[in-house]
Amino acid sequence: MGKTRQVIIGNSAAGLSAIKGIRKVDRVCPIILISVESCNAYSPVLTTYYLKGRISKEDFFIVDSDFYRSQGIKTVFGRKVIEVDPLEQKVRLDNGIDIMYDNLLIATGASPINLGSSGNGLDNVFSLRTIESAEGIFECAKTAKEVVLIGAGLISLQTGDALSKEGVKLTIIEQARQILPETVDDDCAAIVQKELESCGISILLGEKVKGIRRRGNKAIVTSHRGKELAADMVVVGIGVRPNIELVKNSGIKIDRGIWVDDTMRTNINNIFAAGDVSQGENLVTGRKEVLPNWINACRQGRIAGLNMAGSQWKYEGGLRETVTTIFGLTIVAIGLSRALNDGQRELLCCDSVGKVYRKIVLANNKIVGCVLMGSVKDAGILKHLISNRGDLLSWKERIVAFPLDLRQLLPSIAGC
Amino acid sequence: MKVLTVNIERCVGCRLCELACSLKNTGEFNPSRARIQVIGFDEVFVLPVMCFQCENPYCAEVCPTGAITRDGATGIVRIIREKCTGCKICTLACPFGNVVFSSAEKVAVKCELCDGDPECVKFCPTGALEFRMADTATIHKKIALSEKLKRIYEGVK
Repeated sequence: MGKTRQVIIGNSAAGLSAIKGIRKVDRVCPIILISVESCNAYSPVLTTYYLKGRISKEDFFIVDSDFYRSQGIKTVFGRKVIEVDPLEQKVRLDNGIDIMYDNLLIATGASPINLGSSGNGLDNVFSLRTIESAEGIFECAKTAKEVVLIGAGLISLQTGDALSKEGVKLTIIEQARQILPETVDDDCAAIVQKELESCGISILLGEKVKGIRRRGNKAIVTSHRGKELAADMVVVGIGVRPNIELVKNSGIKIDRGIWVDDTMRTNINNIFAAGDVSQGENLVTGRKEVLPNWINACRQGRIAGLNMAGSQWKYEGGLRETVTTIFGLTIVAIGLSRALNDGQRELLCCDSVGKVYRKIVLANNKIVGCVLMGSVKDAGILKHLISNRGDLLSWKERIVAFPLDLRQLLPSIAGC
Repeated sequence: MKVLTVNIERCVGCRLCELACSLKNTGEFNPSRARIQVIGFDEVFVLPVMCFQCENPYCAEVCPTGAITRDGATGIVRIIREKCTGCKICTLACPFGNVVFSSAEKVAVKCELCDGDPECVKFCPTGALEFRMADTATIHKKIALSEKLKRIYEGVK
């Protein structure tokens, strides 16, 4: 302790939480933080709030420069790590400089999936992830009259919410048969879709995008069925992909993301990974999955940090979990959004007029997932019931009902 | 450090605490906006619930704007309103449902112990809610428990 050289690649949720984790145990060891972006840590979570005008650019930042100073962090910002060498215990930067480590944390996050070559080089085609991209969209939105959103996932719909205003024609094109296919079940999606359409948004389902090309000042989006949509601005939101290029051919085990165990270690003992780049256990499915969400990144980062400093913490596993408000509807989805086999059962409570939807997915009296809309006060309690695998016994019929304050379940959560 | 303690045996479920809280914190007599809530369990007993001011708050750990802080001296976990964007991640993180999103104020809200002078305690007519030093609070609990055991023991005898 004290001498261990800790190197962290990535300056967002997982990287920051890891710093706090390390410093909880070890106040003095050298920490070097490498980030491809040249600014202090900020939240990609907030990009849509920026578009909405709810926050200013300054509000993006989670910490200021004082934070790094006070924590004794040496920062290497604006540099990309191009190679990891586990044998020599060093990482190589894009300017050719090598940085040695005793423990390494890879928290490089994920990047938006693009549409291959199509749309490249068009200045009005964006994907939303970084401050830079948010500023681009913000500027372009000032004059755009026709906007096409590719993909009907969370980021797309949040972007749509932010851009929706009088005189702007919004079209969403999605290849699945429902909106929010990765987030909620089809019944809930149908209610949300109706709400979106009542706000004047056109939604095309089951349509794959074949390409984007330029015609004059417009971008033309072509679907595989030959449909053409003209747009002043296109925002692509078809998911994210872990940034794993730096570890390719390094001997670090990768699948979709970087494989980690419950201590956040990769297959190499002194190399850790956390956050959107990692592929760790999903405690509901028991499989290793990339779980790109803010809460998971914070938890994984903290555990990685604590373990890098010599503690022995284990992560109980992550969850697919999300909370958002789009077009006035607050939606929470945790764990499974639908029953996947005969052993699982769904409890449903739905009031489409009042725009309340509550679905609980059960497996042997234990909650394994939920989709909540409208009535979401108990989301945190449900989430912890799912992660603690709490037995519901006689409570299950009540959980799905509303309005009911789930704090009634406090004794079973607290274990008394 | 002082903590807010609840004596379940004394709580009669009058909900005056909810009214006092909502008036002080929102300017309205509106129990649904109170930071403290009295939960009834099948008419068997009632329990006032409010933020526990965790030592390592789940909500603060996940806040993407760093809007939630814990005051080391008083132990109060606060939400800095100006920094809160209303993303609701904290409401998902709190296992006890004690951080909620206020649609009226457009930010997440929770009990912040009225900055060290909790209004609910002042209005609790039975003394079920108390605000006292953390160490003596546990001693009081031990005394109460031993008295209870004594009563049970005498009952058996």
